[in-house]
Amino acid sequence: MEAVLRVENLCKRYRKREKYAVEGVSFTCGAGEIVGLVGHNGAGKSTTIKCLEGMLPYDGGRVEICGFDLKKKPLSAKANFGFVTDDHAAFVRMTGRGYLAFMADVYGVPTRERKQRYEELETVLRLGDAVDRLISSYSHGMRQKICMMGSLMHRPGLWILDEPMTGLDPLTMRSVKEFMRNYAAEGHAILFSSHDLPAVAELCDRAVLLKQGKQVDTLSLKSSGTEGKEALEERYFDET
Amino acid sequence: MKLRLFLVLFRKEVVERFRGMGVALCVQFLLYGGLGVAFIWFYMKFSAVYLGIGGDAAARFFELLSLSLAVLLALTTVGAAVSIVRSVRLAEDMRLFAALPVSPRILLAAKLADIVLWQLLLAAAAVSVFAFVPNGAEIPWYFFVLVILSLPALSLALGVILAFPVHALVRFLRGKFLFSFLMGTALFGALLYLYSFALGGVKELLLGGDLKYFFGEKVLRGIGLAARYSYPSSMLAQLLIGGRAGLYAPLTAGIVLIAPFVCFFLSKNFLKDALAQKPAGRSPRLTARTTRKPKFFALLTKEFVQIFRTPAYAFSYFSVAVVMPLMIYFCMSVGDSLLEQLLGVSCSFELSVFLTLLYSALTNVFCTTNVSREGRMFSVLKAFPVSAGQVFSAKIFLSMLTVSLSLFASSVAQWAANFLTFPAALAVFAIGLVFSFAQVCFATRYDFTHPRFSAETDGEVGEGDGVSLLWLALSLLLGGGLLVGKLFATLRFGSFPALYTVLFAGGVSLLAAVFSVFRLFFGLQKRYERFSGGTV
Repeated sequence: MEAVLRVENLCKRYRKREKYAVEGVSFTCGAGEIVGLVGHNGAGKSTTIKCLEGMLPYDGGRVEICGFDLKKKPLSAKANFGFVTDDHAAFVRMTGRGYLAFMADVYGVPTRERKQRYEELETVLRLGDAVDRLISSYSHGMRQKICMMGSLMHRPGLWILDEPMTGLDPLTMRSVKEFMRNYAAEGHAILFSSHDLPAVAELCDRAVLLKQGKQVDTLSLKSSGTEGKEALEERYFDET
Repeated sequence: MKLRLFLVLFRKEVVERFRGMGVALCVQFLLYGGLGVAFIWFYMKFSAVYLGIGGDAAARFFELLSLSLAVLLALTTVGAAVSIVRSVRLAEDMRLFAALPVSPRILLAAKLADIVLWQLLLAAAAVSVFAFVPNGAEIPWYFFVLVILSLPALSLALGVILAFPVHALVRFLRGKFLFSFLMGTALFGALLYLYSFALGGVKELLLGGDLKYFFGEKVLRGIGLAARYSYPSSMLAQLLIGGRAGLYAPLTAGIVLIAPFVCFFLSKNFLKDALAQKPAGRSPRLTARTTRKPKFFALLTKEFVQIFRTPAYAFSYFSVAVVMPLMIYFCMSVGDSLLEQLLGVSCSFELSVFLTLLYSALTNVFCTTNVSREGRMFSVLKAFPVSAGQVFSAKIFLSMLTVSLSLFASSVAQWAANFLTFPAALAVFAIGLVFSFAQVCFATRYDFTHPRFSAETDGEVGEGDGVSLLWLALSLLLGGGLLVGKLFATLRFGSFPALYTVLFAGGVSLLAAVFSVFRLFFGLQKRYERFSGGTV
């Protein structure tokens, strides 16, 4: 399977004399695959994701997105993924629609495709009339939704989400899970971090288990049904 | 227990005023201190002139005190109303207090006590000035203390009543960005007009040396009536000159005791709404264009929207930029003829260069937030497929577009009013533009290296005082130096060619611009990629 995301020996430390926040993390995420990053608080999930997104500079290793090295060809690599941050960061002085237009402009989405993309995403995430209000007035869940919509306006080859299920109502959560499955089935790759082990077991083909910045295991969850879920829970609690 | 809680909350309020301010605080004290000293000097001069215009000296002193106290009371009342709305109704911490086991009464008392403290300090400073007015009469110290205590009490009681319409106005303006911008700019312009009027008065005073013709019999009668009926300041003024102390002293003491309770009970409603998390206004519905734009213009639009939809930013940037040409025009209209008549030297061009540099430095103060105002989104922007050059160019471009339009209007106004010839206006525009470009690049680079991100997602940040002060000093040195040089050289040697001014001001600005551009853009992409946050 063609690797959309390839991470090799990723290392990151915040200060030179401090220990590594992430050390020697390596995994791939292929087209049509969903990979989960799992670990307790402070395990290095968000740091890993921020490094992959280019928000944090990393000290060692290699990150390749759709064949583009993140350090050598950052703009090409960034054009090929969409992301949702753990704090649902968005330009809060924009309206939802203004933000989506901004994201479409930044990723160069043609005008004729914008409406169609918006309608597709609105069906799943149901932002409704709020799309014409300022993002600063949005609730936690609504911000999460607008960030998801913005990140998918260009239909990226890789979709990176940091704690995506937090703050969503059960109905939206179900829709998002279904959307993730369909999106992966269309040949896109998805990487997400989560504390929600059942969601990881339900959605992911593989789970990368992190502990204190190190990769302790990579579990295959594909077609393993309840066994995979149990194995994930067992490994998670063993390690944490 | 209650007192301890009150002290904890009060301390929090006081400390929060100074949060994140170090050098900035000293700079602010210096700036406001300087302005205060200048104002006191002017007030003393004016008082001496006013008390000497003849008639009953005691009546003149009473009028001066009564009207000064009325202005002071009006200012502190507006200040109190804004503080009450801001700290009781709109404060971000209310969300947290709504869930904490804190008695609303104690919380309100702590918030009001903080407002009282600052009002008290201001009143003490302002009323003390009256003691130095040379009127020949001695004011008993206990009446002074009583007046100082009564001012915050009165302004709080009146302020809380005013707070209701202020809050209604805030709610009304919520989301009406264009309207509030136009209103703020118009208000600013009107204040500027008053300022220019005052400057005109100073000019007349300096040129004529006498204000007597200004205060004719009719004017004095009007002032006398206004002073007598401007309650409650006329009562406080009477107290200061020792008139009807038997009546006014207990009355003022009563106000000092009762007014805080009035304020407390009226502002309880505000607090209730805030703690119950009643929305301070409905979020507006806005339309957004969805036609495709190149990346650069998308970033430019984002910058504009971010500033324009934050009223404090829109005011401190766009309104100042709009008003800047008026400011230069008014100062030119006063300063040009003043210098010519006092010193016999025509130095319109040098004065224009000086004012242009000074006011563009003031307008560009906002650029010290070019990175900080993005907050968390500055880091997030790194994950977008846009280069550092595009991100920073959009910021610089918007800043330059704003200041260019402002400088253009200013130069055209000076040319149209015959202060400058066409080539001179063009030179002033060019010098201002290059100087502004240098400042914008320098300030942006400094803010990138030392960002001051807000802890709140949509929090606002204040301008960086250090860099602002540096450029103000530079504009004063460069523009002021050339002006003084022109005066000195003309008086001493008979002439000072304008070309020297162009070469010197233009040369220094150009050097500063080259230095700032190099500092900002050299190795920018690498620094941008290395960037991993900032101080909160």
